[in-house]
Amino acid sequence: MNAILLSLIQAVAVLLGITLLAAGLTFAERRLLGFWQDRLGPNRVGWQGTLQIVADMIKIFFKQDWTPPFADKIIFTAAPIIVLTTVVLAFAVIPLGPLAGIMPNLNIGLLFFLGMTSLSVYGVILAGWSSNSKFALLGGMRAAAQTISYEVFMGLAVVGVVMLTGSFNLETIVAAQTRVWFVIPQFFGFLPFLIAGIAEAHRLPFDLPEGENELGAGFHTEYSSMKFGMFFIAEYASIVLISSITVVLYFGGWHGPWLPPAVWFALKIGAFIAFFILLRAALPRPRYDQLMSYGWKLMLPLTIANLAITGALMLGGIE
Amino acid sequence: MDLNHLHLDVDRTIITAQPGQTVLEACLSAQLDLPYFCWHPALGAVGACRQCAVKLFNGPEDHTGQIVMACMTPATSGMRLSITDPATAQFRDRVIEFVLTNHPHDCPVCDVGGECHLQDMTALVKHTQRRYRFTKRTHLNQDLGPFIRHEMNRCIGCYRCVRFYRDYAGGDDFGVFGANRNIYFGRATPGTLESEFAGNLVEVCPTGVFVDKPFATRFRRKWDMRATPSICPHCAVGCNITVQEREGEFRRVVNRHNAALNGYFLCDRGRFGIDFIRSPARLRRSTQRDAQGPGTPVAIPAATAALAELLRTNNVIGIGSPRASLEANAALRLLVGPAHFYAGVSDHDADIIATAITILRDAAVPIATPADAAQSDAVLILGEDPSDIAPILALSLRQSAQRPTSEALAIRQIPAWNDSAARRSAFGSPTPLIIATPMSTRLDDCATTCHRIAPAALLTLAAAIKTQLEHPSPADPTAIAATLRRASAPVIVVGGDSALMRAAANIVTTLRRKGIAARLSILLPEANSLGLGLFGAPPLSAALAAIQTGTAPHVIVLENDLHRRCETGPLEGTFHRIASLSVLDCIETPTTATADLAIAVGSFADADGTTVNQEGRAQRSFKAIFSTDDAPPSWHVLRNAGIAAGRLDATAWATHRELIDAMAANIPDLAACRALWPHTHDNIMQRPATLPHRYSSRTAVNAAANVREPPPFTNPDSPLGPTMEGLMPRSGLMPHVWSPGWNSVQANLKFPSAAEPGVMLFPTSACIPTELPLPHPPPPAPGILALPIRRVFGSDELSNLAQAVASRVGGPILRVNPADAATHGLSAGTRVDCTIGTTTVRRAIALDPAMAAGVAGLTIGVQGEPGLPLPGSLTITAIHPGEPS
Amino acid sequence: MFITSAIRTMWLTFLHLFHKTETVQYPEQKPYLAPRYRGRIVLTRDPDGEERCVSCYLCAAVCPCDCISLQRTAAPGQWTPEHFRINFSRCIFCGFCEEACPTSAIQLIPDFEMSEISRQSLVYEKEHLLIAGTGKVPDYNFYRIAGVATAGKPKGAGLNESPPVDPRGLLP
Ligand code: SF4
Ligand code: SF4
Ligand code: SF4
Ligand code: SF4
Ligand code: FES
Repeated sequence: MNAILLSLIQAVAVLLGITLLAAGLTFAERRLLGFWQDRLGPNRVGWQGTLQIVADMIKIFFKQDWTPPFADKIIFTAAPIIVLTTVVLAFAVIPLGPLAGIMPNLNIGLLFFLGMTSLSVYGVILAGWSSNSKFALLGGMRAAAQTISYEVFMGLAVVGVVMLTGSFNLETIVAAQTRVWFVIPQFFGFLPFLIAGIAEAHRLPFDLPEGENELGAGFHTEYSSMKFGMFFIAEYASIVLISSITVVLYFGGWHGPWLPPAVWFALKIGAFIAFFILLRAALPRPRYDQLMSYGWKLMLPLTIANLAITGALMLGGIE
Repeated sequence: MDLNHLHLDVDRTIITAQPGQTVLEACLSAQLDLPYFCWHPALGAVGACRQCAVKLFNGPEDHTGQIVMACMTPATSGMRLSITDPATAQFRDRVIEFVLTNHPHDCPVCDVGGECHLQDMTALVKHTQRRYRFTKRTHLNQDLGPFIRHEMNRCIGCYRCVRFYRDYAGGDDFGVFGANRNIYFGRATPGTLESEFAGNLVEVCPTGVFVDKPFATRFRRKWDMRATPSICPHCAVGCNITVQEREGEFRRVVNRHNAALNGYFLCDRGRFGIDFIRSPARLRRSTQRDAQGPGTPVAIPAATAALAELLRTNNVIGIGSPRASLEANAALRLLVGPAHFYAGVSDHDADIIATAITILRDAAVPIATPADAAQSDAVLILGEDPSDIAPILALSLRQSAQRPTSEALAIRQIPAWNDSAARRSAFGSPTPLIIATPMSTRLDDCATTCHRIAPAALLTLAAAIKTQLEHPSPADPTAIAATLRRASAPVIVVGGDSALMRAAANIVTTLRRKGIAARLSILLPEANSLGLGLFGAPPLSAALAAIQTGTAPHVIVLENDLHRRCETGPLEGTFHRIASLSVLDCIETPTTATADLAIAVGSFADADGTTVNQEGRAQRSFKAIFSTDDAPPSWHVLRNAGIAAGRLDATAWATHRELIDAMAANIPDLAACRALWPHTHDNIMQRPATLPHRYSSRTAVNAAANVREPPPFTNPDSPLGPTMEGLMPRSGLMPHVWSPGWNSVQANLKFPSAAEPGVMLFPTSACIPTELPLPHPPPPAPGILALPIRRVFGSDELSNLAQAVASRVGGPILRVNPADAATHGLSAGTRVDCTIGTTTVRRAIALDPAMAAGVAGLTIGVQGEPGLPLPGSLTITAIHPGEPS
Repeated sequence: MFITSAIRTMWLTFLHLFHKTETVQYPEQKPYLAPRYRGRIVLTRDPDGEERCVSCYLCAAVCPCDCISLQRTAAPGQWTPEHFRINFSRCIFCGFCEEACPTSAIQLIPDFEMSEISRQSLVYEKEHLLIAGTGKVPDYNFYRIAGVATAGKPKGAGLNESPPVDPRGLLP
């Protein structure tokens, strides 16, 4: 009974934490982008613009929640819910510290994560389809193609880690990195994984499903108010998610000297989030065919080679 | 290879040309850009401006070539030419630089800016920099009357204006003065340009010297105006015009080229008369007589409901009109039933129209278009002066008289385009133009023979000509028959009297029997006279008789002022016998003033309509003015009333097309009108766009009233698109004539075969026409025989309402010969009261020395006067010698 | 090598964290606006104080937003606009109208502070547009150069014009 209650409390705490973090990220991103582009970013609401999030939230809640008359109403409403839910659910398996997390000990933890990220693309496709407008549909189609392509080698990339630890359990994976972070032996697994992660989160430079300059706003062109807000939060939540899973898989999770594990974990995640934002500030979006050929012609061979070498080394007895 | 075409090599591209074309024409028709000034397709070439220089190479080995003027060089097969050759290009650049040395810095305040041939040509030769640093010569302007403003500084000395005004249109009050740099084009003294074709100077002049004065009061650039193909409503020639509109307001009329009818020119009644649309005398509000008294304003739906109320009774008669479209007349006829539909014209007009139909349809006499008339080699005018009734036909007749026929030119080896040589070669051997009328005409100056004969003697003359043709005898005092027999394509123009029309038709028939391709041209009084006649409805007098005898009916009058059609006595004698009088009209008339229900409908420019001209050519005009004003086409009002009254199905005539189908089903003669729907596209993008592609101010025009932009106009009745979206057709219905780099009216030369010819309801057949029986001549009337004089300005109801035209209307006159005047003790300028029938009108005496004895001419159509029973006998009841004339 | 260039780009972007920002804190801080700044549109007068606009319709024609509407007066010989309207809720301040104007009548000025609560208030009529001065072009007067006669300038009195010729004179 107590365990269930504890899990529930933890779950609520994580959920709230994620949402607030995502909201906070919107502000952090805008300020950081500002600095990187020699601007100031939002600095008017509250001290140094810190209340901007509140202002934005008020705004987005009070916007007209408009469902286009030509849209498929039920699916149109369901799509953002699917996206947000799957992203948030994936957090269940993340070990936040020793014995912290909702269910870090799940023996199929990694598979659960992969499953949830794959599910979230349904939300995007359904959003694009149900909007019944050509820009949204094109955005949805792009998301589908992009996710299929990048998921393939994302899955293959993590297999290296799984081979090394012999487990899908994320806690076991973290525990296996006390001596050396997997980023060292698995560097060529880490690289494709990170790129695929960016693509899964539809972050720049891989935000082709949104592609403002050619598609309006891509799959969420027709969305407004809090339905749009859910997509928005989900995007930032998935930044956090991808950062955390990268840290868990390749950067030793919460391991680190001197500081408490939770702080280490937060620091590492923070660095990755900053990296995501820097990517957005620095890199242009590739062309769609370029995106596809990176995936299939560069990343996929790279991950397969990585797998083959890891396997060969393991067979050869070198740990 | 097609042997009827010539093939020319212009800058290594092969273009085709017609035999007889010049190099300039060939290049323009091939869509090549070659600048020119003095050439005009109707005026020919004189090689004065030196702007059209091209390089001509003498064979394939010639690399030097020589510069020639394209307009003066006949196109021959195998010719090798260059337009782009640098020396030639520099030559053209220098010519335009010279032309522009004195040209003022006026474009922004110049009324032709944006549609200026000089601007276009300057841009074409890429002349950009002015090097001339000395002073510019200037000129004083002249007051040229209500139609045209003079801005002489802009003249480039191309001579087109004098060549048109004097050589082509036969005017003599305009000319060229001074020498070399001081050359001046104007009148000897400032004053109104007398020719009724003066308005064409606006389009003929390649610069802004002649400004359309009425248009300048509501000026817009060409690119800002909606242009709609239309038909002139002011006479039975049916000239093709383009109506230009902006913001729901009529702006101006420009010529629309139609090779068979008006060619490149219009008369001033057409060009300036259509301004009646802006007249204060337009009926703007519908009114109804009710408890509050007569003339209570009602909205169109209420007026329609009131009309429907009348239509629910069985006792309704409809009176049509020759100035309303076929559609409007057909709608009224279908609504009240053929038995209750009357034509609304006087007995005399009805007789003339019926005779014209007999000649065209039953006797199948071939009809002359104005183009045929211009090409004919002998002309006989019988009865009436075409100058006032059908000005454009008169202009064509003048061409036949002033220029040798193409055969004559071929014998003399002068190409037709070589205008000056061609005209000179006519001296001494003029083309016969024989005029036999009771009074002098304005074509007398170019006639070879004039006979002034009273109407009865005219009939005898016509009969004599026919007899002479059949049995030539040496005793032929007039020698008219001999002249006609020598011609190969003579044209007989007739009007004014039905018996004379039959006699003239018989002359044509006789000539045809002799294998001479003679043609007839019949002068009819109004724009849609023939169209109305085809409904076969009885005249106005029959309507009045029906009202007198039957039970008091409700009368619906369609776009007609009955007071102009008959005398006041008989008309008002019947008014008390009618239950109610409803009038649909676009102008205020005495009839609308007395109506119980006056419905303000759109003018010809507010509606889609069809008219039939005097040749039997049915032509479409389209809704040209789009505004939020409440001015529906009359047939819309009639349809809605008919539906409300249960006389029509709820879906009847939903579109213009359905009304035309219904009309064609009822009147087989009009079935051909169905072919007047040239392009039908449901998709608005496939329709010719009436707004030019540079149309401006769309987001600011209505912003004062409401910053939100209203939806665009729609018009399901028309095959034209009412917005900017749509096609820019290269042929057929071309709302605005424009070609890249050619913004002026001269752009129409790039589309030589673009005109929509209309549909001939009675196509000329190859068989010999039937001879018509002649009626017995009526017994001579006592007293003076008064004949109507119709004047270009003053006799047409609608054009008189245009301010500029109204100021050209002269005082009403009575024209008599001096001998007759002396008998009655009259002298020129004396004012007299004359009584015709029961009406007395006042006229000033004008003496016409050539006038036949015992005949007087009386100007008709004077505003405010009732219709006079003319021709008829006239008595002078009072003389007012003391009054100033 | 796109990897290296991507990394280099990211590094250079990262360094901008330590650069000075360009933001001007409007409205506390006013930005410098060049005299040729394209802001609110005015109609100017010539050096003699007369309205410069001759209603040639060129600005209306060139405007990509079609937001200028005017009508030349009905009075003959007078080319001033009867009404002149700019719908600023449509204007994109491209300055084409100023480029097209042959008389320097229409000019864009360094003032962009024209927000309104209702779009209707952004429709400016001639009385809102016409100013008393000559704007950026101090001494151009179209009519001194043009060939048309105006109230104070008969034929031949313009710049570089000879007196009107006598067409009846026979001298060359
Ligand atoms: S005539 Fe043509 S070129 Fe001359 S001022 Fe007028 S628009 Fe300009
Ligand atoms: S007034 Fe016009 S048409 Fe006549 S010569 Fe001058 S430019 Fe030519
Ligand atoms: S600035 Fe540009 S958009 Fe604005 S009125 Fe002028 S031309 Fe039109
Ligand atoms: S361009 Fe200049 S002169 Fe012409 S209408 Fe516009 S403001 Fe007036
Ligand atoms: S057009 Fe050929 S010389 Fe004038």
